[in-house]
Amino acid sequence: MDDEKQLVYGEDDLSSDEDEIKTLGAPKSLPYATAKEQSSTSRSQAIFGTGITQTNNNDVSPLLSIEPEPVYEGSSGSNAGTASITANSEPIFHVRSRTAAALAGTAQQTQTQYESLDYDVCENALFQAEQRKRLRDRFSLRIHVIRWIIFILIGIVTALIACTIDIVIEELSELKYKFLKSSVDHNVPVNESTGDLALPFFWWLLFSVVPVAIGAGMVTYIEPITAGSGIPQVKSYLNGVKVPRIVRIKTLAVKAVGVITSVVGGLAGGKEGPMIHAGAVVAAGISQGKSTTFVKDFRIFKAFRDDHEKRDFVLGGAAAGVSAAFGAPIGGMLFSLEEAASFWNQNLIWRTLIASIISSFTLNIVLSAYHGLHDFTFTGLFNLGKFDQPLTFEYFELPLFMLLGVTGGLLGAAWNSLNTLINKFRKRYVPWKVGKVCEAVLVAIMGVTLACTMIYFIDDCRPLGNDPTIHPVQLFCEDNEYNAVAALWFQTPEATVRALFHDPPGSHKILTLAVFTLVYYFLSCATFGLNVSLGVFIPTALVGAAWGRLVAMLIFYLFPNALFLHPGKYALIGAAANLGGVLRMTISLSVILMETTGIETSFFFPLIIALITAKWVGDYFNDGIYDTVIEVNNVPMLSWEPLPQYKGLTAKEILSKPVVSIKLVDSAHYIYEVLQKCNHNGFPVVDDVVGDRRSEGRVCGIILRSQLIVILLKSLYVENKRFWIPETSIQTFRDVYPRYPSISSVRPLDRKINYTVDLSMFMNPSPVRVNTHDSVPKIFNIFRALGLRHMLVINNENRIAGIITRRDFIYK
Amino acid sequence: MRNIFLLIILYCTTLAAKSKTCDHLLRELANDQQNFVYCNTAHAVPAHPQDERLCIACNQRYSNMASSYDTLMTNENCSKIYMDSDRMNIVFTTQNVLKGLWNRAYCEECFKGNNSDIFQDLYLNLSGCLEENKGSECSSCLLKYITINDFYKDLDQKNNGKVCFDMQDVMNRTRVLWSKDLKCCQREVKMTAFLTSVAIVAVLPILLFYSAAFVLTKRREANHGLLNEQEPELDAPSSSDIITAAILSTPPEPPAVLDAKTDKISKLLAIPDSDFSSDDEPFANAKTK
Repeated sequence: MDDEKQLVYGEDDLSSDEDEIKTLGAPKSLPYATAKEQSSTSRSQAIFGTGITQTNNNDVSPLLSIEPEPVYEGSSGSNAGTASITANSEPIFHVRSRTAAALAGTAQQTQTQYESLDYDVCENALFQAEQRKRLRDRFSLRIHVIRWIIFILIGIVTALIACTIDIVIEELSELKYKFLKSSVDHNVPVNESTGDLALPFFWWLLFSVVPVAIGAGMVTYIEPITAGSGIPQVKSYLNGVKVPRIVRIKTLAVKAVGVITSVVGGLAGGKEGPMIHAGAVVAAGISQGKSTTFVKDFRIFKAFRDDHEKRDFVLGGAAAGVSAAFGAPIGGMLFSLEEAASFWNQNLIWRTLIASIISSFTLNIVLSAYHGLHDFTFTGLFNLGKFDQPLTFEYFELPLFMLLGVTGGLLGAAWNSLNTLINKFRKRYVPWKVGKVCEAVLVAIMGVTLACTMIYFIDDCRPLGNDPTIHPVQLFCEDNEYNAVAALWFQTPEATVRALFHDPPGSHKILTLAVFTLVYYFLSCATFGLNVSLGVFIPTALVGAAWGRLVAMLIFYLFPNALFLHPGKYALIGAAANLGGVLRMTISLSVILMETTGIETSFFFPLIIALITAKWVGDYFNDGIYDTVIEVNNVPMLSWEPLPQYKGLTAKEILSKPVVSIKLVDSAHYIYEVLQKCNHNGFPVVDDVVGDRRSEGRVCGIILRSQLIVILLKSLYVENKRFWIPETSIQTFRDVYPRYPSISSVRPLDRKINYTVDLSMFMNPSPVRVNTHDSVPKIFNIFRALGLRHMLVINNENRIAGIITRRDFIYK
Repeated sequence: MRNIFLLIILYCTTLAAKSKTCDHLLRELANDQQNFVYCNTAHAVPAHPQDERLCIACNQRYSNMASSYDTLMTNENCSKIYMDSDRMNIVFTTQNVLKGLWNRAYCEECFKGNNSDIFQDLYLNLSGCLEENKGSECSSCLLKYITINDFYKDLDQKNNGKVCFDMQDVMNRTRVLWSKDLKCCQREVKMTAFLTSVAIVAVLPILLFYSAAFVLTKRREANHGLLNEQEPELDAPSSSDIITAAILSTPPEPPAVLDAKTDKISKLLAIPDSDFSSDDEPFANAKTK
């Protein structure tokens, strides 16, 4: 609330002191209880402010010695103001309020970790020299060919990893449920035989708790970034945020083991999200031709070692992951399109599609061979199976589908806010690592207990042989019958979705399905946000399919003559509606559903109706679950549109200044000092500087922090030019990618203190510049479309007036 | 000339004979099919449990039918006449339907090995027992029932569910008789052990965990609450005016707390302040308060 005011009256900051003192007085006079309430909410904002404006505040400090200009935080100053307070004062301030207390240790750290990707290619003189050299090369096509090869490799490797995960999960689950089934069969107290049903319960607990504990332990202690589905992280990465450690090989390993253990452990989750993440890691790994973890450089693909290329490959990897997970190549491509559409070009779309198709094809071959099929007909891991007869619908069913959509939207919105609440509770009350592992184990125990209780107490017996059941458990049923509840639980969630879609009418009792829906709804809600790597797609689809089928059964119960009620059809529509309500993805979700079920083109319409209704209804209440996760983690994501508060402003009102700039030919000492004192990533290069007033110089380019560090490390000074000029190329800078050395690794410049650096060769001479009078929505579009990290604001004389980065667009 | 005439006559007669043979074969096939269908329908549901069932009863007729079909088809002339002759392709279709019926019943399985005989023995055993012990079937025949049930289960697993229909049918009826009519399959619901273990293993740890987390967090936050009360002025204004105002506005506090506070304030005052922070701090305070 205060921010807004600050933003609008930005220029009047200095004069409006009295006003602020009044506002200072106000909360003081409030009773303590309400003041506390306020403190907890506003404090979390302030923390965020600290996170994103860390550099703004540092903007000032190094200049104190150099810059005589009065510090004047401008309009982005509201955040910077709080930031400078919190950063400069005693650490005790970080833990002042209750919520902040929980966050203080970790959150502060993680928030400052987020940086933007350098998606903008630095076309400096060295880069241009390389381009020209390549033009002269007879094989100038080479780089494109390599790029194609990499995309194909990404598809293949992603699919192979997906296959491995899938096969392991399938085999282990088969063993587990087979054992449990025989255990139940042997322990049913039938005809005076001894045995107690508590025994299978304990076995089940054991088989759930042990894998889940292993998985949660690995995730918590080895690589916390692998927690959750992975889609929000990949989405942030594709949006241009550098999420730390997201594309490391270690992350991949932990994620793979984590997802296997959690699914085998029987948590309410799926393996789709982790596979997409796996695809992204594979892409980032292959395209770089080296692994920093294993300190191994294969000396290939050197041309692709920058953020621009890497992100394009990650895009392809994510698409291949979706394609492998769902068997939906087009859906995979559209997923990438939906999540990162602003940075797309045609070639990239085409390559991504090829990677997706190769991925699903590889998967088909491997899994077909594994399942002993001779044709490549095994499609996708999330194989929903084909409907045996074409799905048809009557015109009067359309309003019904719309109602299902509304239900899906409401249920989805409720699920999202409940999940957010649960995770808030977790963040506050279970901040310990041991606690997180314990909680995962407890949720597993809860799931097993609920399932077991359902199986034992709901008496739903169906004759054998009418529908395919993997593990028919007799339990208390007569001979020749099986327990329909156990059939729902004794398989992976994915198989349950399939069963709900394809089981013939009358496979379950209404009570069974109703209780199952209820239990799974809350179980999946409690599961998402645990420290395990699990996706949310399958449980959501499962809940949707369950209530969709339930609706069909209820209507059929009320109107036994309604022959149009194919329960599988309603299960599909319910799944679509629930997915739309929870995830709120549109394009890729609908295509994925179309591709995985292989429905007729004529049935797309009902599907879209359910999806879009669910999305609209849900959007009325809150954001999709992925966006919520991103927001909760304070990832500075750029939305599609500039925030409404920014409409009608100009660049002058959001820019950060003064800008720490570097002269075209500057002293090594100054550069060293600047790098040490502030953690900015880009520095405008200026000339025509009067005295030391660099922040009023004329813009001639921009130079990145990593480049400056390399210059200092390799001593690329003017004075010793003849030594390094011959062997310095763009490759010198690419070699250190992606883990740039920090400034602390540069030795102090004792002897070289008077040396100078000429940046004309290294800087990017064509940074994106905007005028101070340009409107914010306009520059937002430029910023987002080009995937910029820095945007220089200049005045009419091409002198630097300020700088705009991602955090200036984030309004908090 | 006469020779030629004779030849033509001969040719015609052989042709007639041939077509007559084909016709004959076709009629034979039709007859066999009729017999087979009659047998199937007649044995659809056995009138008495001991009656012969589909596969055993109709096996002979099935092989008759198959052999006459083969004869018809191996005769090239005949197969030419009856195969793909028209849209309906009747001979082929009917034969396929009947063959499909036989295959779906897995009748071939009945005649593999001696499973069928063993099963029949077990069944006769059981039904004899049931006849003898009217009124006390459940206790007397339990062993026999379990033997046959287990034998069937084993067979079912070995053959992946492809069990000869005769056995399936017998077993189905036996099971229904056993569990529904005689009510011998009493599965008692004994849940006390399960419920206690649920309470101990699931409910208790969950309650313990969350209450422990709640208490620990509350306690940890209580400490911070203390800090909160002690030092609300710390991040406050740098100019002495504001500090005095702030001190005046705070409620009276215990002397120890007050001491700590004044100490802090004096420290704060000792720090020379740059004026850039002065315009942000009050604001920050308002926010963070």
